[in-house]
Parts: sequence; C-alpha cells; structure tokens
Amino acid sequence: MATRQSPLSLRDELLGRVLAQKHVGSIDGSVAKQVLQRQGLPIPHKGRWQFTDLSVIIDDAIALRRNANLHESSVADLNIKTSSNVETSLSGQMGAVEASETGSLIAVNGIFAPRFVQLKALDSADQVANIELPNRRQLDHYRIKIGKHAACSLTDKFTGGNRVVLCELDGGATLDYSMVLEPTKDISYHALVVTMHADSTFNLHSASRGAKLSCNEVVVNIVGASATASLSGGWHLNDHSHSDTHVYVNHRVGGSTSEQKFHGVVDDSARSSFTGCITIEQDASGTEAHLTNRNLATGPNARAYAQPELEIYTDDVVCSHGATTGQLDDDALFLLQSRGIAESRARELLIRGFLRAAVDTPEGAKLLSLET
Amino acid sequence: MKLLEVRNLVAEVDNKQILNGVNLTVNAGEVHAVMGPNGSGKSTLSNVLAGRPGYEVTSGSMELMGSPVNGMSVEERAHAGLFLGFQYPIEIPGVANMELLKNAIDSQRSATGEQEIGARELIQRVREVAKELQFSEEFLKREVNVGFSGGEKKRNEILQLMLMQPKLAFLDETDSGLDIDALQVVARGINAFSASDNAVVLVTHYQRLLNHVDVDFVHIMVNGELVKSGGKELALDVEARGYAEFLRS
Ligand SMILES: Nc1ncnc2c1ncn2[C@@H]1O[C@H](COP(=O)(O)OP(=O)(O)OP(=O)(O)O)[C@@H](O)[C@H]1O
Ligand SMILES: [Mg+2]
Repeated sequence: MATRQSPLSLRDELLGRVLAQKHVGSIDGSVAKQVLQRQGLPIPHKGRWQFTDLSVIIDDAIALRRNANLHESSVADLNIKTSSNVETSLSGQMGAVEASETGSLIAVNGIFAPRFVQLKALDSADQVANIELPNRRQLDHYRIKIGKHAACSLTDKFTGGNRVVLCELDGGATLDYSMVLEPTKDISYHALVVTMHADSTFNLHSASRGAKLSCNEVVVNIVGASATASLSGGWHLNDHSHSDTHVYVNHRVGGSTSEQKFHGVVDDSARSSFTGCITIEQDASGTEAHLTNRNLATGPNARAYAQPELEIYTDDVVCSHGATTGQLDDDALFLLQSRGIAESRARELLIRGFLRAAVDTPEGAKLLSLET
Repeated sequence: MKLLEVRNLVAEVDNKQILNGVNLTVNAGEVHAVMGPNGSGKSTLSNVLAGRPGYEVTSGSMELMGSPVNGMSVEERAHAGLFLGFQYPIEIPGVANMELLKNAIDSQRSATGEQEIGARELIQRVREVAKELQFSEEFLKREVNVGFSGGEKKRNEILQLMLMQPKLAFLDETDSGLDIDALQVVARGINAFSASDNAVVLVTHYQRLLNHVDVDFVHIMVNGELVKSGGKELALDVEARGYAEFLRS
C-alpha cells in the first residue's frame, strides 16, 4: 500500500514543480516568482483548500504554460473587444505586482502567463466603456484600470483555463462586471482582484455551470472611503463537477459598504464549496458589510459546503453573515405538483426561482436557463 | 355522475391514525360543505385525496371520476380533475404567478395531448379572471404568494381554480381570513366556477360563506369521521350550538 504524502511535503513538492519551470522571463514574471517564493503555496487539503486539489490546478497551469502561444505579439492577436474609450497595451513592466500578494495561485499565473494585457478605461469619459475579454483556454493575465469617474461594463466569459484579472477602480469609478463561467470538462482557475478607491462602485454579477474542477477566487480590497461593492452570483452544478469559490472582501478603510449574495445549486454527485471572508481592519470603522450564501443540494450524492468567516478588528461596524445548505422545499413541490406540474418540472421551477434571487443579468440568466 | 367516492377511508400521518373511516360521495353538479372542530381531520382528508407525501392510506378506497386514486401521483390526480385549495397557501420565491399558471395549464394540456397555451391566449384568460376577482395585474407578475396578505393568498387560490377548471374543487378554508368584501368576491368566483359537470367541496368553519354559496349538503367531521350529513340547516344548527353534541357521541 502506498503511503499517502503529507500535506506539507506535497506543498513543497508542488512549489518545486512550479519553480522548476522555465518562465517567460518577463520582468513581471520574475517579480511574480519572487512573490511566490516569499509566500509559498497554501497547504493542500487543509483549511480553505480542503475541498480543492491544488495540485490539479498547478499541473494544469504548467500544461497550459507548455502549450502557450508565445507568438501573439500584438494586441490585435488577442481579440479583445473594447469601446474606443479604452486603451489596450501589452506589458512590459507594470512593476506593481502587489496585488499578486493576495494569493499564491495568482502569482503562479503571473509566472507562467506569456504576457500581461493592460486595459484602461479613460478618466471621465462621457460614455460607458465596454470591455469584452476573449474566451480561450489559455493562461491569461489582465490588468484593468478604470479611470477617475469613468464607468465601465466588462464581460468575462470563461470556459476553463487559467485566468487572472486585476482591476483598479480610481476615485468615483464604476465597474459592472459580468462573469460567466461556462460548463467545461476541463480545469478552470479564475481569479479576480479588485482594488477600490474612494467613491468607487463595483458590481459583480457571476454565474457558473461548473467544471471538472473549478476554482474561483474573488478578492475585493476597499482602500477608499464611500466605496460600494455589491457581489452576487449563482452556480448550478451537475454530474461530478466540482466548484470551489473563495470570496474575500477586505475593508481597509472605513465608511464603505459591501454586500454579497451567492446562491448555489448542486445536483447529481456535484460538490461545491464556498468560503466567504469579510475582514474589517483597524482603521475601517463605519463599515457596513453583509454576506449571504445559500445552497441547495438537490442530488442524492450532492454536497455543498459553506464557510463564512468574519474578522473584525474595530468597533462601530454593521456586519452580518449567514450560510445555509438545504434541500428543495417539499411543501412548494407539493403545491406545484398539485397544480398538475410534473415533479421534474416542479423541481426545475423551484431551482430557477432560487437562483434568480442571486443572478440578475441576461448573460447569467441565459447560462443558468433562468429565462421564462 | 360520481366525481368522488370515498369509502371507509382510514389514513395516517407520521404513523398516527387521523382518518378513522371517512365516507363521502360527491356527484357532478353538487356543492358540499365540510365543517368540524379544529383538528378533526378536514385538512388531512384534503391532503390524502391530493396524495401529499407522508399521508398514508391504510384501508378503504378513494375514486376520482370512477378511477381509483391509490397509486396515482400528485400530478396525475390533478390531471384527473382534482384541485386542492390550500388552507395555508405557501410562498414560492423566484417563481412568478404567471409562470405557475402557464405551467399548470400547459401540464394539464400536455396530459390530454393538447398544445401549449399561447402567450396571448394565456394573458387574455388570466386578465378576465383577475378582473372578476378584483385582482390587480400587478399580482400576476409577482412571485407566487410572496408578500401577499392572507386574503390575497386565498384569492390567488381561486384565480388558479378558475383558470384550471378542474372537475372537483376541494377548497380547504378558502373563506378564512377574508374581509366581508373579499368573501363576496371569493364566493362569486366559486359560484362562477360551479356548474352541472363539476363539483365543489368547501371546508369551512363559518356558516356565513353559505349565505353566498348555495350548498346542497353539509357534513360534520369529528375525530376523523364524517359523523353527520344534512342540508344547509345543519350548518345553522352547528353555528348555534357548536359541536358538543357530536363530540359526546
Ligand atoms: N404530521 C403530523 N404529525 C402528527 N399529527 C398530525 C400531523 N399532521 C396533522 N396531524 C394531526 O392530525 C389532526 C388533524 O389535523 P387537520 O389539520 O386535518 O385538522 P383540521 O380539521 O383541518 O383542523 P383545522 O380546522 O384547525 O384546520 C390534528 O390533531 C393534527 O395535530
Ligand atoms: Mg385544516
């Protein structure tokens, strides 16, 4: 019988595997490498990573790196659609990789991504800027800046691969972010890090159908006062798909508001886990932060895990969080069936109703079949 | 024509026997009222008829339109023509009233091999009925019963009844919690529905509904049995003297 590797030695081995790869050699890549060396990887199978096999994501990143197309040398090759008030360029030397510090997997992407794509929605533009990221199974790394008082609507469709999107919202900026994670039998790693300055507004609308293994990280750092973050999303998983969602909202300064609402449905033998963490730092009094995560397990072998975490280091905050996992309401099912509706259809109606509460964009509704 | 025949029905909930031998025959064109003290088994009878999970028939029989219902699923009983008006209509978040109506009508149609109802026909029919029930159109867009007042929920049951046009309507305390005007509206709905080819069973605590709806038979349920049947006058008797004499027996 093979002895099972200890989590600590597995972590060291994984780190070695990453560092042994030849990276592209960009300055950004080497900075990311330093970050990873400093931070190390999380311990596999423990804590926040107990539900997701880290090695699968890392091996997929390495495989994507091997197959990466290094010849796309111009912005045009990348097929990013934008309105005219958005500037696009390839990195160079962004320098600031601080945002990578939020997670080692983001640094792994930073090491392997063949290029960083920079987008900027111009300051105070009259019209809403539009950005549509291309959907391809690649190692993608985007850095998006929404200029002062600019408004931007961004669509991010993703069908597996390894993608990191770092967004910075300047003072008074607004970003409407529609994230659509389409069903795939591949591995899907997606991270979104948003830094919010004063008076900015960030709205996340996400929807997901799951993947063989889907890991989604969302990090919101509120560094300015009077910022408003609203995060919502729904997922509906079938078969043996597995989805792991981590959302961190960090209130670094006070006087801002965040709200999170995530609803998930797991059917068949699917697994989901949700970690929602709100941190309110010492200087962030006057913060209001809320989080709800509701899960429905509708399949015989389906499992949904929820771990809300709250870290508050100051007084004078309004904060709430709650997570539930349950089954379809038998009384509601009976009512629908008593009206002649077949059980399977009745279940569908209830599931749709449940997801609608957290999914409010046409793209999300389409992905999850919520349209009437 | 016999729409419902219940014979010596014994049923239990959670291994507790609640119905102790119910007998009831309902013919087309009739309106029945079932009265009885709290906890006597009236809602249990309606749930057993509709096939609610957890309600188990241990002996006796039930026939709907001449066919035994045992073994029929909840939706099959609805397709056979049974409609249950709920004593406590529950809320269904995220499902619009209109969506429920469309699905209910379509499933009925597909059971008889008919085509789905067209959007225009549906809205026309719903509007007509809503108007009769003085139900504003806003309620049609809202989620089923979510935030509805008690009376609005009951009116919503009648709306569903009138659109589905079942053969047998078993209405469990649809008159409870209604103000005087709403009671008349609901009674009008029941009267409009009632015809020579269908039947209504009204579970009620109050004789006053019977001022507005013409009933042919009144039954008294006590301890899971229909212990006495009669005409309208029986309801007046009960109103005046309570159930004491039935309880003693
Ligand atoms: N799940 C259950 N487990 C145990 N007992 C139950 C259950 N459901 C109902 N009962 C009991 O069955 C009896 C009949 O209840 P039922 O709801 O049928 O009465 P009812 O005649 O409709 O009363 P009301 O007039 O108050 O509506 C009651 O004593 C009730 O407590
Ligand atoms: Mg009752």
